[in-house]
Amino acid sequence: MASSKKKKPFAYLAEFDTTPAVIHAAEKLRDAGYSKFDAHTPFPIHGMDAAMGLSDSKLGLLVFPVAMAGTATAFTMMWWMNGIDYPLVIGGKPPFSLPSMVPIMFELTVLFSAFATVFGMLHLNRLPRHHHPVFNSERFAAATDDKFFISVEADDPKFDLEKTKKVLEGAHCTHLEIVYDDDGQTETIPLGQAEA
Amino acid sequence: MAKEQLDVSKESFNLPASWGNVWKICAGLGLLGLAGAGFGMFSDPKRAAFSWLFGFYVFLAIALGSLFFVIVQRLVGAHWSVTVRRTAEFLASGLPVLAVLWVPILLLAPHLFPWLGDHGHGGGHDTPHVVGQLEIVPAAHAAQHGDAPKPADHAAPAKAPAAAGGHDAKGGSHGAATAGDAAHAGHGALGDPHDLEHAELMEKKKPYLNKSFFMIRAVIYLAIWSLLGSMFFAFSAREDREKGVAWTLKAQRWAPVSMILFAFSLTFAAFDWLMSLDPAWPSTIFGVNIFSAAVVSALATMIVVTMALRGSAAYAKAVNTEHYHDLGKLLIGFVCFWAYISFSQFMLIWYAALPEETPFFHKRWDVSIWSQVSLALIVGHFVFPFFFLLSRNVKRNLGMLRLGALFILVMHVVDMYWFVMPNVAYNTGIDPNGFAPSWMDAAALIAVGGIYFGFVFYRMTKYPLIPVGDPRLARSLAFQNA
Amino acid sequence: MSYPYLPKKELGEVPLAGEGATFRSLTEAVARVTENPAPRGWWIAFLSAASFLGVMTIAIGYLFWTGIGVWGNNAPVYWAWDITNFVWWIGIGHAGTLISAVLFLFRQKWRTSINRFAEAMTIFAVICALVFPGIHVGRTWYAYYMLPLPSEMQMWPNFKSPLIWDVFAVSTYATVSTLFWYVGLIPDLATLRDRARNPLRKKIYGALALGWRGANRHWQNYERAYLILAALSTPLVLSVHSVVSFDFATSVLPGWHATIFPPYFVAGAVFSGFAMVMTLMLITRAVYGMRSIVTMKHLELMNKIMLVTGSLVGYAYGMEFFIAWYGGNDYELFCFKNRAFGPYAWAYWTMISCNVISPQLFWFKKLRTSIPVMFVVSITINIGMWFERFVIIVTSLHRDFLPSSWGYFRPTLVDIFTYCGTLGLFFTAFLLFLRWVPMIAIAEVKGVLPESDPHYHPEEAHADHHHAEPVAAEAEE
Repeated sequence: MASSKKKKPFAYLAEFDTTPAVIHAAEKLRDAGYSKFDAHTPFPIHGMDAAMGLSDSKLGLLVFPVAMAGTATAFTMMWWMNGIDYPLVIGGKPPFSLPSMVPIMFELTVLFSAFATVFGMLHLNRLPRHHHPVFNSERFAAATDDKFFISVEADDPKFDLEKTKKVLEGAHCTHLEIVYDDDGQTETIPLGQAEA
Repeated sequence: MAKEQLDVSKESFNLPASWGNVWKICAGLGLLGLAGAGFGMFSDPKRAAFSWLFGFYVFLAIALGSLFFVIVQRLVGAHWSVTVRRTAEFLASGLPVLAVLWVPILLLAPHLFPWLGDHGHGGGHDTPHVVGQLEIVPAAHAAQHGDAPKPADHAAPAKAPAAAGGHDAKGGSHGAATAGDAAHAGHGALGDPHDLEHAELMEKKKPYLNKSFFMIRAVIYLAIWSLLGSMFFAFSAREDREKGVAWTLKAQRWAPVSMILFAFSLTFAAFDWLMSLDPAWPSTIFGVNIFSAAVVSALATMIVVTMALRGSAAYAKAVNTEHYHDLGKLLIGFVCFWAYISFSQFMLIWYAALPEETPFFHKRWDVSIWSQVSLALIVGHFVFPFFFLLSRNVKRNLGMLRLGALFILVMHVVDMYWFVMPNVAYNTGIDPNGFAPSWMDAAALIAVGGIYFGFVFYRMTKYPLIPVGDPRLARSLAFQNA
Repeated sequence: MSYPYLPKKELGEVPLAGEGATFRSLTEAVARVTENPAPRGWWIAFLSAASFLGVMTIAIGYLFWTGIGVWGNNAPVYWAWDITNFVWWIGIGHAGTLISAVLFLFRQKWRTSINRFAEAMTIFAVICALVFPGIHVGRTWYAYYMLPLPSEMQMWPNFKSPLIWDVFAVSTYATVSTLFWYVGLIPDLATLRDRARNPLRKKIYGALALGWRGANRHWQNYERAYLILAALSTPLVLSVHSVVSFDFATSVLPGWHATIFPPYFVAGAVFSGFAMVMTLMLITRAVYGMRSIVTMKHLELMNKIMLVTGSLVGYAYGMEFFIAWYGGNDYELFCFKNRAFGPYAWAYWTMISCNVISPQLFWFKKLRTSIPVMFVVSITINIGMWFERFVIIVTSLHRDFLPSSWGYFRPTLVDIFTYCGTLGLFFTAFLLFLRWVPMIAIAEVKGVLPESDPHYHPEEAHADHHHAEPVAAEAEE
């Protein structure tokens, strides 16, 4: 225990049992001015974004231009291939006829948008990232089962070993530990000492 | 996190006093319009008939779309929509008024529907039917969509145009050419192969397109709608007083049957009153096409009407951003549905280019001004609203949403105009250019709209603006979009 | 203020999840299927499915070796079982997208118990569908001609052809469905990763889970991505079957050219897809003991959707028939009379009784909550929808405009083997899915448990002696 104190902690990891408890804790951290903290939950909790003070997701802004690019690609492709480079008159329709281009323009719009959505989401989330300090915690596996966690990163300007601990304890976490970045270690903090 | 809960029992959801007389204004305007339209009907019944049909369908679509909304919400037992459902119930409960306003269409029907005209559509030709023969052997393929003369027993000259259609492939020039004597166009002189074809076709359709069956059907549709509109309103209004769940359950039980009645009545009414304006033209999707327009217009109307009522604080809390967000989502969804159905109809007819189908679009593309109206519909009824309503922020911004809804309503009027008016040139011979708006169009619009909304707003003075007794009301009030 | 979302018994509302479901029990119930050894029944099913797959391989190999002549298609019936099967399989796939996307947009929370399952079905059905146009082109090794690739021929695909639209529509559909499915899987793969004891298993699921750690900052973008994908998939699913219908409807052939085809095909697709989900779900639910996750309420709602879509299909049949008469086109009318009373009347009436009549049983609550009834009806619908495509394709072709070239289509053994073989392909893939992938969207089902609602007060709910639910599975529309 004493030896690990010298290492720089990555984050506090507080565990909670219920949805109301974890959302409450997030509200407390938000109100205390924390910004680099996150909740880890087995499913998205309705209202958590507001509780953490997050602004709206930017994903839509990213997808829209790509969608338009998809439409433009399809249009240009068909216009050039069937209208300019190799004009084909089929069924008495002019080589360049918009109505018959609509289906493919639509399909490519959707295709481009879907790729933009999935890869945009992964980009915004900085995933894939297979190694993350929170995985060092043995207990963290339950975050994909039935437990709720809040991690408060040491990078947060408000982070303070004592004060942050108090906030988390005040939110009635059921378990608290510090996770370290460098050597895959964690340290359990006994609860209830802060008040003493 | 929960919003401040509204205590329904303590608030009043009656129409704000300032709105108490709106129905009189509407009704007054309506009567004024009615006077104008009535004058038109005597001075120029041919043109007035089309104006009235147009004005009638604009509001019929809104009322039917609202009826659909009510039935669907009942069918699935939705809770988010409870507070706004009452507005749709008000709008649908105006259907009996529209049933009365249908009478001018009946009176003027001979001017509207060529198959009903007194100019003896095919009635004089004792053309033997070829149907029986075709059961055994369908004759040359080419006759269906080529220039080949019709087989069987007409000694048609070789120049016979499109066989089954009755209109030439170049509908636009057809319209201009026949405009002069269009009163007889397509049904007059014996011997013209075009007329023979047309007469024969009309003869085939006679079991459906004849005066008495037309009237019987119309009475059935109007009765169904009046009944459903009043019935679902009554269920909800009774519940305001009696609370409990009995009326909700009753409404849920009636919803499936009502939906079936609604689907068929709307479809066949669209066939009878709009599609048969060109009796040669068939389209299987036409009912769905009118349905899509109806739902779009109803959603837009609901948005506009509920926003107007937000002067009352309690009502503004009961119908809030969350409900508008959902109405906005439905609106953009149905705008897309309208585009999908309209495009499907257009693309398939354009692609196959069958002579009996293309006249519908020739009328709307070959006359330059109509082609611009058509383009305006594509842009104004789909492209612009789609991009406008795409953003979540717009749907949650009441002012913007109202703007979008109002714009869509204007386009709905254009849409109905587009369905009705291109037939004027063909069916009456007036408007030789194919596009000639008349003051009577505005008069009819104001007449039907004024009387209909006068009735709707009058009802609003009598009943609460939200269903205060609905067992799902609490959920609707607490509802939040994710 | 009381919690408004308690199901109202008097309105006939019941809780979504079965009694006693908890976060832990859900994880356990779903994950253990992939962790425990496969039951004997799975092996029997798998081996028989795989042998059917073998039959398909042989049938297709023989076809490649000999040529398309081994099928029953011949003048005037140039399209027959191949395209029938293609449309049938594509249609089956549509229910998956409907459940994952459309019901999501309509906030139908009950979908969470069946969406994973149905989405998997979508992907496998699309694969089966793609087999048919792939082999029907004859020289499959030239199938790349359909793509806009520069080639030595110096020419481009004809983008005015609905068949090329099909290439784009179906491949977009396959891609987007797979992406959607995978995005949905990420949190559940993380669950499997975190439960894994075996290091190899941990590595594989770990790699696939992309390092998912359930962070709310991730959930935020993830949920938005899910919403956008749903909003994209909804028009996509409409477009795919519409484009499939264009293959027929853009023609001038009586029986094929009808403007109602696009929405009519979509309704039929959803109809058949739900029937297939129902068939598979009933078996899986019984075998793997998922009764508390997929409850009678889910089954009943699915039956109601089948009733609705079946009625829509009935409406379209009616419109087609009416306009065939009203349109006054003798050829069109002949085609429809020929369908109902001609040589293929047996197929037509099979279609009508399976698709329009049999779902009407679901008007009665007793019947739509009876498992044997719904099982039989779901299979009937699958058969009926296959016949619908058969009727549309073959009856419109077999008596064409020249009576001298009229014919009667009969399938050959190769036709039959190929079709049955794709069932093998489908079930093989499906059984592998059941074995290795969480078949229920664990995270999503957790999200609709009452405990997931941050305003949930257990005392209040328990005072009422039954479970609350966040939103009582009600529709937006």
